[in-house]
Amino acid sequence: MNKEERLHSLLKLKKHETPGDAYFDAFVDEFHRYQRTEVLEGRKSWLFRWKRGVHEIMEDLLITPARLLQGSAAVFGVVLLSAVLLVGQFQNQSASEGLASHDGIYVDGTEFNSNSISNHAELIMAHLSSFEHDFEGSQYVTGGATLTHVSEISF
Amino acid sequence: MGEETPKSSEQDALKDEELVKSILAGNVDDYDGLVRRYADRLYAVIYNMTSNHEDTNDLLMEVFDKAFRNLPKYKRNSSFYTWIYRVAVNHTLNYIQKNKKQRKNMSLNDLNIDDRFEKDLEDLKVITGDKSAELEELQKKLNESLQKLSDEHRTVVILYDIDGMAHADIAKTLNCSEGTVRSRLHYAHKHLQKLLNPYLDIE
Repeated sequence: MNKEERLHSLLKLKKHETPGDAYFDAFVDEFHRYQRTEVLEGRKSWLFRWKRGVHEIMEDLLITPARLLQGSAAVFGVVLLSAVLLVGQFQNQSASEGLASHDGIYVDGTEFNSNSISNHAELIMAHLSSFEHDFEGSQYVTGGATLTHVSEISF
Repeated sequence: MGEETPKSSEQDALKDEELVKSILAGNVDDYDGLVRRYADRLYAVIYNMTSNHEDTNDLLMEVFDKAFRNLPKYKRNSSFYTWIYRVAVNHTLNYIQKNKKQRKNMSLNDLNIDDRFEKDLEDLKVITGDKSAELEELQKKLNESLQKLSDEHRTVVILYDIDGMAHADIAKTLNCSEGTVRSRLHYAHKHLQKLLNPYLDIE
């Protein structure tokens, strides 16, 4: 007999740990008394029945108070994370909508819409040409604001 | 088991399914037949999980009461015993988890020593000298060791080693995979071998 078999045999001894026939003979009567008491208790209060109902549902689902707490914490965490993500997304969306509705950029009094790719190219070209034209001490305008640039560099 | 009334012997002759049908048809007294039939087996499994006779008595009452009230929910795709056995195991597990703190200081009970027990012990060659002292010590050590296991590990050991259930049936009862049952059993046996080493080393 190896250790594993010995352990198995040793554990099987626990089968004999029973209270004896007298206990089981009286058990049915004892059980009837228990049920009658339960019925009386149940009639006494609706709270008792409600608590037992909830307890049995939890037991059927193998939910213990600790598991219930862990589950609630997990659900709360997921809801919180979703809320944070949703708020973040909403703020990004508002910001991009704000940019889209923003007036274009003005170069030499001409408005360029920054949303259009072709306008981007036009904007760059206009910038370059105004840069070249006005390089020697002239003024150029960006986004409606007037800047004065005085250069001493000459080409 | 005790003196049998004509009613109880009539109930004993009926199969579980017939008794269940009869109870659901309104013959609630027939439930006594099922209680008589399974009280000892369910007592054993609950006692092995709790190691306390008082708790076992209360839990056994609760299990039979719960099963009686939920009998209309019993779908006959498994035997009545399998169903009530699952109710008993899960109800006891729940009780143990809820009462962990109180149970730490509980006392262990005395053992009912009968001839079958002594024979099994002699087969194991554990007894030398003073039998009652040895038995008491062995029972104490066995229960203490089992109580040192986690609830999950202890339950699989009880269902497999003591109750002789197959891995697949344990998995169904505990609502987990067969692999989980095997793994829990492996670790539980290793742990128990360490704890019960002096009793397992005898050649």
